Amino acid sequence: MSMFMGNTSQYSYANVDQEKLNLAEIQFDATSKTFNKILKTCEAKCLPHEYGESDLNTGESCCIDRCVSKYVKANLLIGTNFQEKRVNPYNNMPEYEKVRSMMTGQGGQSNNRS
Amino acid sequence: MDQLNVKEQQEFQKIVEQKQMKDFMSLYSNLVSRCFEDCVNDFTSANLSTKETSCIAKCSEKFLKHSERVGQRFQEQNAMLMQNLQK
Repeated sequence: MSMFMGNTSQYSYANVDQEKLNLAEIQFDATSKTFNKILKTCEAKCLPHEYGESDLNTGESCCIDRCVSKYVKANLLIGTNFQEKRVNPYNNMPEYEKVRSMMTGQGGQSNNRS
Repeated sequence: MDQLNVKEQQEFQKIVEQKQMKDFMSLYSNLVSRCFEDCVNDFTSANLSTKETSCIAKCSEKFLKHSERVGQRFQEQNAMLMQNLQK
């Protein structure tokens, strides 16, 4: 059917895979949530509540740099610990088991991911 | 990200733009909240005094510089993380 384009997997004939899109959204949300959290946390830790000048002074800049760096490292450390201890939503949130069984029972779609 | 086809990327772009707008609004409201609380404490007048106005100006500029700097550092850290993962 494609008269103009050889590859139909791209361009207008391409289908939208909703599941892939949802996954991309979840990944985006994770990053953006982390960023917004860092923004708030480092604001609380590094910005004093007095405004002598509008520029960040050396101490504040330095504090921000270290704060971001440490937050990212702490995030990574906890993530690694989670992986080692196999903490994940399927093992550690049994309260979702009921919801999952309801969903899989209704649509016949398996939501199991290993 | 790079595994999405053209149409999916377009859809994803729309979602991202909405989220960006949302994040921007929340940044804005956080800025107003912080600078109001830090700079405005005197209610003998309904107008902002010169002192309050200059405090708010400095506060908001500082706030924006802070978020800019955090954004830069966050990107750098993430890039470094990606590099380490690829090794």
